This record gives sequence, C-alpha cells and structure tokens, in this order.
Amino acid sequence: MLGEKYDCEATLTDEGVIEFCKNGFMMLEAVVPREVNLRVTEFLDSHPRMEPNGILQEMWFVDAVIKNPQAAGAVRSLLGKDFKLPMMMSNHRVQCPRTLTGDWHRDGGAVDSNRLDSLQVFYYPQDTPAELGPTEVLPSSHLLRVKRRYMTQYGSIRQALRTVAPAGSIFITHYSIWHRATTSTASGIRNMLKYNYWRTAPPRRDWAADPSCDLTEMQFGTGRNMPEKWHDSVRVVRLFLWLCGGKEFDFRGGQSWPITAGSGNHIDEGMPQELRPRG
Amino acid sequence: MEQVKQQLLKCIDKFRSGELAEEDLRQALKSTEARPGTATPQLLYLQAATTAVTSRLLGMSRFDADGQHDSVDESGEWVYENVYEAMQDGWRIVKFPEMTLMMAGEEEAYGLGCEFILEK
Repeated sequence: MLGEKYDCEATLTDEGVIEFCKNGFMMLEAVVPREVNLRVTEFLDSHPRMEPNGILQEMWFVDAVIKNPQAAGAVRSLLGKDFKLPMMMSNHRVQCPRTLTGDWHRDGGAVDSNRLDSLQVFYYPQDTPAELGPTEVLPSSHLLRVKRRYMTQYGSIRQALRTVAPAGSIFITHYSIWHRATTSTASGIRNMLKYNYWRTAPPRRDWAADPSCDLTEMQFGTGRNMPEKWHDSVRVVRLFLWLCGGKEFDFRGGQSWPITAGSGNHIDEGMPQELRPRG
Repeated sequence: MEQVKQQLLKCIDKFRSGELAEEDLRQALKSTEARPGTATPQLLYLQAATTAVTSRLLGMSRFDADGQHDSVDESGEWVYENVYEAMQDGWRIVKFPEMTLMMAGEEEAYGLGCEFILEK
C-alpha cells in the first residue's frame, strides 16, 4: 500500500475545515481500537528502529490506523479525493524519563504557503499523559514565518499545548506547525508514530460542506494574535479559499470580510462570490 | 563581585581596628581583576505581544552556564508577566525588538512576537 491512492467519506464540515485552517492541527482522541494499539506496541517493541516502515505492509495496521475512518475522513476533507497514503513511517520512541528544554522546530521541508498539499499525522498507541512527554504544539504557528535555525532560543511559550491524549489518539497537523518534544518524568517507553499524506487532486469544497452556510457568521481570527491581530483572519481565509477551489483571496482592506466575520455584523463586503451562501 | 565585596568589608573592619595594611588594599585590588571562567553571565529571551515593555509575554527562555531553561516556577507560573517585571528584578535589556521586521507585509509575522534580549 506504500504511496497508493485512497478515497473515503469526507467527515469535516465547513467549520471543521476552518478550525484546522486557524489552528494548524486537530486532535482525534482514542479513535484506534485498544487491541490495535496493543498490537502496534508489540510490533514496535520488536522493531525498535527510527523508521519501522514494515508496519505499512501490515494490513491490520493500514486498515485501523492509516485508513482509520475518522482520521482518513479528516485527511480526505483537507486533501481531497484520491489522496496518497504514507510511504514512510517514523517512530519517535523515547526511553523515559528524560529532561528537555527548548527544541522548538518546524520539520525539515516546511514551506510557507497558502496551499495545503500534505498533512503530517501523529499517532499514540499508548496512553500519553504529561508524564510521558507528549509532543507540544503551538496552535496557529503554521501562519508564522520562521527558519528552523532562528527559533532555537524559544523556550516556554504561553499558548503552546501539550498533546496529552489517551491511547489510540491521532492528531493531524499542518506540516509547518511548530512543535517540540517535552520532558518526561515517568519510566518506560513511549512510542509516537509520524507519517505524511499527500494531495493528488485539485482543491475543491467537497468535504461535508454546507453551501447555505453563512460565512459572515464564522470566526476566522485565531484569537491568538498570530500572525498579527485581525490580519490573522486574512491568512486563514487565504488557506480556506485555496482549499475551496485553488483561488487567491483579494483582501479589500478596512472592515471588509473576513476582518469582521463572526462579529454579528454580517458584513459580506469583500467576500468572494464562491463563498456566498447558496440555496 | 561577591569576593570584592567581602575583601572591602574586611578592609573596613581592619581600618576601624587600626590594623589596615597596604597588603590588605592590594588584596582588595587584586580581587577586582576579572578571572576567566568565574563569571556566570545569564541571558533572558522574552517574546512580548507588542514592543511595549509592559505588554504580556508570549514566550520566555533563560540561558546560563548550565544551558537553556524554560521559565516557569515550581507551581508552573511564569517567572515574569512582562519585560518590565524582569527589569525590576535586575535584568538589563541588551537588545530591543527587531524593527526591520515591520517592513514585512501586514499579514506576515516572523518568529514569535517582539523579542527583547536581557542580561544579568
């Protein structure tokens, strides 16, 4: 199945897609069954390498994790039909406890773009409380420009979020999101699988969209002042509009949409024709 | 600095008791000489929401001879709420936020907030 194309039902609504555009990640808690988590853990114990690619040949794993209905449904929503399945599997296998500071980074290959052509996905086969050092992500940081060598001074970040999650949780990220490993205080092994999906089809609003949805009522701002208060909503719309059909957003400035979206004023000045409610 | 202080206090005591000698003053003078490897400089990187020193901090990181440290106390609270609080605690600003970043477009933001670098 390495790199094969796959299609399934898109599960995200307009709101779900917009939330992903705003946050740059989404968590799906405990979506993989317990027996699969245990089997994955056994497999990883017997293949304790950094890239246990052999697991991608195991159909029980592909069906339950890679094609997991909730996770693949979200991926289908964001990457369109016939998205390409992972070709490589990484395992961030950690011997706990360990102490870490700093280490904020974007993974190699991150690009600044208003497109979304791939997704990076993480899967925890075991319960991952704070004591097992879950990955910390900085929501909305996919909207910030930065080079990896120029972010090593960062330490505590107020709006960062530890991905504490029960076994079987999958979280889907924009490839450019800032993240880091964290200190673990418990003992034992923590596995975390990481893999990518790719777009093959041009972007279309073919997720579980509602054409009658009034996007003047949706909040596009991140609420985090990232990258810049008010203008963050414009960046979010650039990504959302591209997902809706590959178009560039022409922001009119001032109090036009989407600066005022979600404020209750129903201002549609500046809203692209294709996003206006139909029906 | 602590060693210099102790040496001078010793000199004052000796002066008061009439025992101060030239050698004591020479010792005090010697203690002021910089000795490689004994200094413990610290740097504090603070990322603020705006360029104002009173604006809320978004990020914080401290570096010393032991390496990098996150900046929350034992209860998980931030050591400082803003740059000014750090200044009140003896930190001196050695670099203000990079203003050339303002030349980027309105939608662009480079890095995390407005970064101040302080030393102690």
